[in-house]
Amino acid sequence: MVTELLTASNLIFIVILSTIIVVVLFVLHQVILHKKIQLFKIITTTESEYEERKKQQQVLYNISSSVFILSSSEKIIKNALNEIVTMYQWPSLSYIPISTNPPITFGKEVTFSKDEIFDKIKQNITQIKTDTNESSYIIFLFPVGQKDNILGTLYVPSTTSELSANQVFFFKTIASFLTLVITNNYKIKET
Amino acid sequence: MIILFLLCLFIIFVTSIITLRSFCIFTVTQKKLRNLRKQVLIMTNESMVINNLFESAYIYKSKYERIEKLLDDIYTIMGWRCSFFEFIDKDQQLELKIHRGLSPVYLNTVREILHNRISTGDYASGRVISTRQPVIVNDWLKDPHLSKVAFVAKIGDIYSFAAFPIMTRYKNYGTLHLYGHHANNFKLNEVEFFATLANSLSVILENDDLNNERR
Repeated sequence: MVTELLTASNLIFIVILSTIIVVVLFVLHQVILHKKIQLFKIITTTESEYEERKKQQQVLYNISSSVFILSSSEKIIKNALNEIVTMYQWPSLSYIPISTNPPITFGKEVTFSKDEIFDKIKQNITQIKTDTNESSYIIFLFPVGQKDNILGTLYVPSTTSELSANQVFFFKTIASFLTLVITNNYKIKET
Repeated sequence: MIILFLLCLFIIFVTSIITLRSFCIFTVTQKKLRNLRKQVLIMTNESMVINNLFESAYIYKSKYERIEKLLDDIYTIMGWRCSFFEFIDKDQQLELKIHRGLSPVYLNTVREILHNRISTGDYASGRVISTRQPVIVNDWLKDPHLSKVAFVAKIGDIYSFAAFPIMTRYKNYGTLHLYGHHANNFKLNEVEFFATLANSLSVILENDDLNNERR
């Protein structure tokens, strides 16, 4: 019966139909492949955003927990910078106090004087562009303390021209936290 | 001819398998992206809660106003049922002061059994005060400390909870409680986030106290 069905004309029809089916499946496969590639790109971006936020959360947790273990503001600040450099893997970071105490630095040394930095802060300038022989980078400043009582600033060098909104929020949270901790420690010592 | 026919069938079969495989991988990848986006959304909400907490840190507010705002954010932005137990120093007890999302039946039961108070060292919440560490109960029904009150879990639809101390070196403010609908609701990143929130709130409340003393 099968051989009867497989006449020359039927076979031609079967071959044409098979070709059409294969072509359709192939086109479908290409479309799926194209969408898969797009999806992988989105996943890569989302994954890196997720990993970054996870690290930030870990850093905030470590810093907030250290407040109850470390007794002095200087130790808390050093621990905070250390966490950001180690856990968050930020290459270089400093805290510059407004007092005569020296800056606390992890990585690149501070290339501006205190007067220059705090003048910028008074003018509400929180980014300084630098151009050295080796590279050009931007310094982002995150003041620690309140407007009428600046205690210092985070000095954050970055090779990118802009920090992401997420990164800005992260450093601002750190600065707010340090403001509260330093202010509290100072008031407790006074009493 | 039969061979040709079989060859056509074979080619169609192989192409179908390849296309089906691609489609399955695509579906799995889409699911992975959905999960990732869900995680990122949770973290975005967490950032919003922390941001709100710190933004209001320098604005004068009473302790209860501040904690109410925080609990509102935890409940509305993050969807977690929560409560604040205040530490009453003279009695060395925790008293339920503010709550969000808890059922009236559960609250009445807590009132009847505990009179809204928990002594230091008792149950999970009391242990938070005595140990100064968070306590995570990922399955209320199986926790040996809470076996006496396991029936309360079913009443309140609370099968897991976590309690975090709100305290500084010098003062104990109380505990922040979060309640889960299922067992094993608390993953590491959630525990770390709520611990960060409790620690940050402690520092802000201490700042408020010190400012009040100065005034």
